[in-house]
Amino acid sequence: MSKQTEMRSRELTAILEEVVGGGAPADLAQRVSERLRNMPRRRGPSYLLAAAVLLGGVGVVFATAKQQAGDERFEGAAPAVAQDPMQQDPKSVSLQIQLVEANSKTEAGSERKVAWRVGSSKIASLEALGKELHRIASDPESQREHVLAGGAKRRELMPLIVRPAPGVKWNDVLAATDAAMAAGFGEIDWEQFDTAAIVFKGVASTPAEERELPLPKVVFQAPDDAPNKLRPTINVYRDGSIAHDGDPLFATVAGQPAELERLRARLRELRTRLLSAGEVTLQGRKTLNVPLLIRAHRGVEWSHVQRLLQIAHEPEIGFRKIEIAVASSGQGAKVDRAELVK
Amino acid sequence: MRTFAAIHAPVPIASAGEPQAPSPPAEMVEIEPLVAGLFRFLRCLGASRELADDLLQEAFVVAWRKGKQALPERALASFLRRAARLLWLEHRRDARRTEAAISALALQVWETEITDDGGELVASARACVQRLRGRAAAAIDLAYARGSSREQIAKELGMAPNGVKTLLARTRAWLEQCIRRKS
Repeated sequence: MSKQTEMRSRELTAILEEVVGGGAPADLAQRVSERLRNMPRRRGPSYLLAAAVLLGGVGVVFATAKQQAGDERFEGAAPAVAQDPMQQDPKSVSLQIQLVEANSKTEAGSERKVAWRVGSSKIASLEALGKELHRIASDPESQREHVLAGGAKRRELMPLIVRPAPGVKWNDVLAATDAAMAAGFGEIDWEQFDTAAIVFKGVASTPAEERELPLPKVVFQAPDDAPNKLRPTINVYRDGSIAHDGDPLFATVAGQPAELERLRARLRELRTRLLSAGEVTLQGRKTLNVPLLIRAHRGVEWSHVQRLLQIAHEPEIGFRKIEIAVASSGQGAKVDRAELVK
Repeated sequence: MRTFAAIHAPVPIASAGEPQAPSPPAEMVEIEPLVAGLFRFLRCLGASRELADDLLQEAFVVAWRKGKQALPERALASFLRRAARLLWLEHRRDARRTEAAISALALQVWETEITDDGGELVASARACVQRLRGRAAAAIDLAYARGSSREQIAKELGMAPNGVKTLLARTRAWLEQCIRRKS
């Protein structure tokens, strides 16, 4: 089949599917608007992102949405055509996670694997990714000058931005992040995710919970000791459905637009409850000081977790502290760190 | 680098009753007229509904980060299509060369032949589909509305799978001609 014929064939298929099945989801324009509204301003204050390893490299914290780097990626000159969205930002290290489909003929049902791209290097295994990240982290060229309060200057490693492609699984995002942590990156972003402080918490699960909702495994995790008693827990299942306290709040239905109002309403309700419980720190402005624990199935698509994170950060909901449940290393789920740092 | 304590310092948030920050330019631009066409374009490239949904959002983010929301609607639509194509190519890196050629042809069609957001093409296709009768109409409905496989359609219509293949191919060819005549 010629490329022209293939193009026409795809066009006809798309048009027929729209005619007899339906076009763009009804809420897509609204979701795009919301997302654009929540985007950090161009050239706005640069949120510093950070990741800190706690207690000899056990805990990990991320602050994301240092949007300046992301903005500058798209500050190219070409006025009429889009820049290659994958062009590199010289002030950060870009780690792309790409979906490799063993059967590229169809998307549905094909075997899914991931590959990584760091700068211009294609990487096929997690082990090779760890080595490449180590190489970059050790390269003096990867250092940048950071001006401290008071004007003193310090050289430090560039931030790293994890950019998962559509379809990439949650486990893949955490594994890549873990590899970056092992390589020594202290500042790690997740692309398209606004300001956040995220902590990986090693959460103990019962065998039944482990069967129902297996958690991802990471090396860099903090123990979930003495968690805030008011902390709400949101479960995200493999199919993307979301529940709180056993109540289903969102379910994906093929071909149907995402109905997220129930989820939003519950999160707003939780916020109100937490505010009325006095969990507010007054420092001139109101602040919600209770974290939200997200227990996401390790095989769920990243986009489902990403959507929940975005909603949790919406101004009228405002969970700024997010804790990510990972398999507790004390439960035999510990990943061999050597696998990541070889 | 921030410390754990610094990261966990309370971050001010707007409470429900507090005035929000001024709206960014997103609200000044009518998104809706652009969405249907861009979604259609991505589907024509070969993206599934879910992937088209994701890539469309990314294309808008690219455009907004570059400050393209100020462009006239047609120019903005064109920019969005090009950004969406690049995102599609990134997704199909495994077959990038082939996809680059196919999507370049699609882009050309959308820049030259299609003068609106693809709505006229869909209207023509709808009119043509409504003229179908019998097994042809049923097969198209089963294949494109329900996503049934050839075997499932064959079972439903009491035909052999190869017969369904031929029926769908002939119906598609007729529809293509019908749509072209109407467009």
